[in-house]
Amino acid sequence: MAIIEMRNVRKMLGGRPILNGVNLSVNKGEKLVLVGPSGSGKSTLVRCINRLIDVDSGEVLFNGIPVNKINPIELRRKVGMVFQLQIIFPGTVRDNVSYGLRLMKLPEEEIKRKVRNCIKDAGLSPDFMDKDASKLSGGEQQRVAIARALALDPEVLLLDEPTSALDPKAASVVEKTIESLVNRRTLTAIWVTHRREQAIRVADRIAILSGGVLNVADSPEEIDWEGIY
Amino acid sequence: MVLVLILVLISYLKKIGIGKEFVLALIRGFIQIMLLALVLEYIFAAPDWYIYVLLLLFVMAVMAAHTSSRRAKHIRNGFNISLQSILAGTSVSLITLAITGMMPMRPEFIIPLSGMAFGNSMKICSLTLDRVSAEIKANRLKIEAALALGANSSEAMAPYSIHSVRAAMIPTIDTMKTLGVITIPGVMAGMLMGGVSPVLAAEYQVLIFIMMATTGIITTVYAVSLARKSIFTPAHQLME
Repeated sequence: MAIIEMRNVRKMLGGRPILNGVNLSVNKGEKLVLVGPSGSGKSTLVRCINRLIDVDSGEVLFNGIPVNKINPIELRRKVGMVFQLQIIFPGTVRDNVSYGLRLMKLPEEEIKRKVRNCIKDAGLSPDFMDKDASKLSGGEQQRVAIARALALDPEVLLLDEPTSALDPKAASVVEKTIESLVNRRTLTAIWVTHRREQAIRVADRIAILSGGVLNVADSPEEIDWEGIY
Repeated sequence: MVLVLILVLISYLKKIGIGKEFVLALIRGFIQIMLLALVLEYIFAAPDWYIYVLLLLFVMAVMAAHTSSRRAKHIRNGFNISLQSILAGTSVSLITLAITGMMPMRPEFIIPLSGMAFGNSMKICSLTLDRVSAEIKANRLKIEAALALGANSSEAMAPYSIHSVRAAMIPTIDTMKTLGVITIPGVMAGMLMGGVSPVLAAEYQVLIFIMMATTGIITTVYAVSLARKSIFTPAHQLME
């Protein structure tokens, strides 16, 4: 059974059809990379999966259950998300990474343990714990955001251009960090990128969103990259 | 008239150009306040004054809500939110004043005290909704990030709710800090001119400010709570 499925999904935004009958099936443990021209609806598509927005018609399923039948808060804990811009909350790295865990009102010891593990998995030193998160570099902040999403033990990670806003060196570090933890934790990843080389490097499969329609390629060679960009 | 002439003369000599506007505003304001005075004289003397007072309170509430909601253009149901918040804040304070005997049940007390309560509540509601709108706009991505981490709409909005309430209450708190230092507030000034002892007038003025602050905090907290329901869907999504 696919862990994420989209069946004939349609979504209009600003009077324009953004998703025009999207069909998608993502298997457990798979790294699906989503590419497409700017404004093609990639971010909209991933936001429909964790119900940050709702589709106009069609179905989105998580583990075979329509997402609108799942408590949205529980869904978002199982389907984590990392955004393009490094979104950091006020406070320390520890405050940021423990944010979602505190909402769950977990015991303090369990929160500490999870935070330690996730900071390590995100490639950050324990010395970072008590640093002001707003004063970190872009790459470090993005790794804090990754640790923060990981802390909830998601089954799926939605990555909306997680390295686009970073300089090439930081982008490379973050990309390797994500790949490593996705493999180690056997996470399913839906990774949005506009970088062809990155798509080829990380993907098990590549899906192209264009004109509101999704086509899944079996190999990077099948894709008309010129046509996308 | 002498003071009016001084203003007009200064405007003319210095070529400021506000003399005519001031005179027209003065005439308009004079007519409005005299009409109000005539209406109040009638109400105060009427045996069924309570009917007129209720009608007047209704008009005050609706006008206050209408004025407040004009600042909340980006928040759905701004009028309903304003009306409910203003009524919540003012009714708690006014009923408390009535029950404790601090507001005698006479129109010459009810109308001015209600006017002050509604006026203050309106200003605070306007500030609140304006600030909530701005906070949501400026922090949309952070709110989305919080939602994506399993926060419900109340949790995601909590920091911005607090900022909005604080921002709305700061003018009231600052005014209280300067009580008796910069100017003598209106109620106290009026009571002094009416021959009331300064100590009694000061006590009553402090009571007024406490009433306004209490009205304010209830209004702003309620407005933020209602605004949240206009900003988020039941599935804890930011409305588009």
